[in-house]
Amino acid sequence: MACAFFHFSENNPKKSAIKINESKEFKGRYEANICTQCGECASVCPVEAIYKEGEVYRINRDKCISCYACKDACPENAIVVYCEGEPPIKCDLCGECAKICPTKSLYMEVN
Amino acid sequence: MTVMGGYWLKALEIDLTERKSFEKPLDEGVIERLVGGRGILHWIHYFNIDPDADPLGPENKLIFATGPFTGTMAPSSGRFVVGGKSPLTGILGDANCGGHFGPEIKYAGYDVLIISGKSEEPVYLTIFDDHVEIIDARDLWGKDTEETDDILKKRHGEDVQVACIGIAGENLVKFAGIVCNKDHLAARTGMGAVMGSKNLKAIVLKGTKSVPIHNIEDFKKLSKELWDIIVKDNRSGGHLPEYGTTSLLELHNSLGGLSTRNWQSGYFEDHEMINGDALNKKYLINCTACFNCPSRCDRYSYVAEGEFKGTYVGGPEYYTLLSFGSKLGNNNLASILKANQLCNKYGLDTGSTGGMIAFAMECYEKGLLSREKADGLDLTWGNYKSILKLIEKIANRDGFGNILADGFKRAIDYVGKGSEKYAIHIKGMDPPTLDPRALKVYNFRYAVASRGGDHLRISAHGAYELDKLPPEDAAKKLRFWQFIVTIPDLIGVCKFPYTFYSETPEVTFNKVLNLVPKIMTAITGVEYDSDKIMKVSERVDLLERSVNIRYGLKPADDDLPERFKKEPLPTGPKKGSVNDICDQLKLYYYNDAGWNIKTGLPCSEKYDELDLPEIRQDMEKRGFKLSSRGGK
Repeated sequence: MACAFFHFSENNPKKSAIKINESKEFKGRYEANICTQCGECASVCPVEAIYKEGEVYRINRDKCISCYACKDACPENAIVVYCEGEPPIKCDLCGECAKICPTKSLYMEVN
Repeated sequence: MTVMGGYWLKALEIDLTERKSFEKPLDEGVIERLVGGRGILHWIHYFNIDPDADPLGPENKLIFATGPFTGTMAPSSGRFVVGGKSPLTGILGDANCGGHFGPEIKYAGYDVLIISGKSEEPVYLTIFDDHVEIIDARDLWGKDTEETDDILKKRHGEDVQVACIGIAGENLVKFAGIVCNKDHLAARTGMGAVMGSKNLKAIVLKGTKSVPIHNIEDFKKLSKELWDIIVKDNRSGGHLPEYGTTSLLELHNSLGGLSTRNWQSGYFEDHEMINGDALNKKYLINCTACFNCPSRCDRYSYVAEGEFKGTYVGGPEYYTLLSFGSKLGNNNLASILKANQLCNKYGLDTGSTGGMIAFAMECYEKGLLSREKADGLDLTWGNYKSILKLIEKIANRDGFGNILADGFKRAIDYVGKGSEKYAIHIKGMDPPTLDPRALKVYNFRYAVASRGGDHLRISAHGAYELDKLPPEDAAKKLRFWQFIVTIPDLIGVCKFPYTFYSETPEVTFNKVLNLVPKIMTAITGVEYDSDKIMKVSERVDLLERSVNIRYGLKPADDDLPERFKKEPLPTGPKKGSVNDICDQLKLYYYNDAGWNIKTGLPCSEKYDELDLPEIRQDMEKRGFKLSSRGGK
């Protein structure tokens, strides 16, 4: 929710770059799909719509052709398609999710 | 005034007889007067369900309603309410539920879902934004709720939300619930049986729409303020994550009011074996959260060894702990978790299931129910093997379980011989835990709750202090707290973090009377203040009363069971106490509500005062003689 609010000013968790799923291995536990900024997505983008800015890979939504090659390439399953035909969403390390997380399960770490 | 956000102003009705769906506009004037949740649910209920409808017939409707906060960034906004005519009580029924299903209704573009008619064969529904399909569910019929959820997610994608019934709902057990996210139940008043009667196994939802917000900057700021208050408060941000609701068991026992052995006593000697600390120490593996809730009060438990090794369950709530624990004289905590798991899989209300078994066990103890009549089960208090067996029998409607599955009336007829005095219920539904002999004023709430024996229609800070007040002041306080805790039910959020799980009453007032109206204004663009929102609560009380009057509710139904009024508590801190204040409180409560003590009808002025002229006109048209206040 915080992610969608920050990036789109919209009340819609579907437009969030982070997805929380129940663990397949451990019932009652949860996992987050989080982008590690590995750059696999940029390497497969056929129109070079994904570019590096500092430590962060971003999507140029005007250039994107919504082919979703990046989604298939992502090893963390962290490219989010919220609506077929629309450009996908990815994490840009804004930190909003970590700010709101009440258990501090999400946190920002500087390497 | 125009509603600018928070609502789609649309209901989706699916007629299972005709196999078609259509959108219905929601009137802005009605929305402004009743806000949402229970308010809008029972407005639709009043005008769309015939009072003579068979609760399990095609003419009953199953209505899912959200509020303007549901699915938004406002904290704890995962709630919806589902209701209609209750098969358990024959009056108004509704059940509130957390998890993630409610928000998805909003993302699909609707405020309300209405299921009407009845399918000839088992079906399930998919609602993907505007696209609705009715799909054959014969392959799912007979499956438990966990399997059903898994299969439907596999079929339609991991990101769908599922509300389904288990075999209890299929078998029309009158206290079957609707299960969301496997472990969240809209449990009370038998809405799972209504769903089963329509041959509807599940609703699968997926929405992609953003909930419209009128003033997004104000909304962000105010929601964050409310979020921080909830996170920083020792109760909503500390106690709830640590214990969930389980600590109430210990509290109620220390007050001498923990329902024990079918309410024969208010003190359970083995409380330490089944309380929140015991759970945390032995079985709790995680606390989990409903949608957007920082309080994360859900328990997730796992039994790693012993007789019930391998049992996992999203739970228990305190209500489940005591319903299969103290109320049945059972101190085996692992067996309570097993009972909880069975109820979730079968789709049963743990409260009413425990309540019915408690009745059977007391009848057995008193020699009214023979072992033979109980299918050969030894129903001695604390016999957890028999308890688990009975849960299975109830869900499957097998033998004696088939009798209990229909609620108290049939069970009394079956057992006979004066067993009615052991049937502890109000309007056909069993109350939860806190004994009305221990906190006398506070637990008068069971007598007047609009859905029968229920503790969540009125909850208060300072419940202990109420007994010290003169009855006329106490009745006013009860009404005041009733309106406070109705607010979360209307806007679509959870009562716990918004109201009584606060360190002080002032914190609660700041949340629901200061921030909630401001957030309402930011979301909807309609001006709200504390008086206006409290008045909506009072209006909903009048609406629900009217629904019940139409079902034939009489003043005699607003009463506590004889046990609480005549049998002194035999042990514990409140030893010797009876509830001797119920009748007196009722006079004052009726007076404050503007209800006639002889007829139970609201006075005609109340409808004008609270701006519900349509209901007054309809009541009069139906021949109810509404007297004026002066004539009471």
